Amino acid sequence: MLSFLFWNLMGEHRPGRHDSLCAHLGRLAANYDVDLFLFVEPAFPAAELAMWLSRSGGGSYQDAPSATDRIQILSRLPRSVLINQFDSVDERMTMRRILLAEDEMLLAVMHFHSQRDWTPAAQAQQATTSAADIRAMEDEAGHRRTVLVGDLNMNPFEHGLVGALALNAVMTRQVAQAGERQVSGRRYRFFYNPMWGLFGDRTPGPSGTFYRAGGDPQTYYWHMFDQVLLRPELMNSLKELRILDTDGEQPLLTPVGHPRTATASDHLPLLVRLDLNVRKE
Amino acid sequence: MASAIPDLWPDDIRVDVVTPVAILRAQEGSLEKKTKGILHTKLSTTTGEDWVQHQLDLVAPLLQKYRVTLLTARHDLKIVYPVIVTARGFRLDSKSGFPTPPPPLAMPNAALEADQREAKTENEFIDLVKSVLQSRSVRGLIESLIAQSNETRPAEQAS
Repeated sequence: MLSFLFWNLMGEHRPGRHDSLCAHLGRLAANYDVDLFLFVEPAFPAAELAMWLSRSGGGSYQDAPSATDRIQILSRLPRSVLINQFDSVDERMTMRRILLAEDEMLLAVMHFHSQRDWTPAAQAQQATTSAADIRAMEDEAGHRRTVLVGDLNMNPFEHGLVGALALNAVMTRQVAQAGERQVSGRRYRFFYNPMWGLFGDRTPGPSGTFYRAGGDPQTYYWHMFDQVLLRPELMNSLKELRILDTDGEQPLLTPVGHPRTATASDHLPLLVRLDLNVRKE
Repeated sequence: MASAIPDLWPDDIRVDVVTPVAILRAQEGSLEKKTKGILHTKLSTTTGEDWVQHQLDLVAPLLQKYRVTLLTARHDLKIVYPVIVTARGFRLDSKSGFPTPPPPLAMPNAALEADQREAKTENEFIDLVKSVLQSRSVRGLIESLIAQSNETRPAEQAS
């Protein structure tokens, strides 16, 4: 089983948050059996993060650096199985190749532009180039066994996610299994987006990954900004997907059920397990 | 008597202006020669409804074909200048010699990010691309990738 945990750590330093966040990280490592921690807005040097994760007894985590500072990957996998493959110009996407027992996969980690700074149209436009980068690396690798995980700063229903030219991510495996769809004579590769199934309070776990109550007439309150998307070639290997509301011992939500911003992060972590085995050294 | 109506056009209009993609294409190949094949570049283009983006990637064949984007150049589908150039060096080197960001373009949603600059003309574009390719961050990246590539090669080949 290959497991990873994605979390936007909210970057900015606030008095008192450092120690509590580090303690949460240690407990996450101890309780969830995670191979790869994927952080955006990481807040701390990678070496410090690796130390807190490794102290937990969940494994020996090492920084897996690349030319991207915005995204940190801490891995307990053998170094030889995690290979740098691509870093985008804005440092908002990094792609790694993971060598599996019988083949390999691509892991793309993304921290997309915020809705505070970019309009939905601008986000959709940029998602088009991110999708092109992913396709180019798939073509280079000669397969489409790709997982994209990150803080996409868009909900699953927004143009940057569902647009054919953009990430083209659909809500059911039945649709995604077609592999591609054709628009105006061109074919576009599907992603399967399982996050649709985690919306709202009729499913287990939190209603989204990020909560914001604004004065804007159009307010969703809960957003699903943090997502994992899988190409059809890998979607059936998804064995577990959870938005975590606890580090295994302590809650990541306040008593009223919102992310514990003061002591953890304004985002909730995403835990993903794939039924895949990593190649032995 | 009415005075002669002056010629109001600029004196320095050139007729040999080329497109941004032609300028970027000209950069392909020379790095491969300079690095004896250890590194090369790849230019790709993505087209949207009303825009085009060219992307110049650095590729390290010996490092499992690792690829890192050095810069992108985005312009209108039909009007190729101005160009918005995005480069990692703009953000990393903002305190060391890059020009300060110009004011936002008169285009919707085009407020520039910290890692973006605008080139209004071919000459400005050439200057921007040159400043990126010769920046300390790109130079550091090139040397890092050459050094790591050399690690993967037998000693006699690396010398």
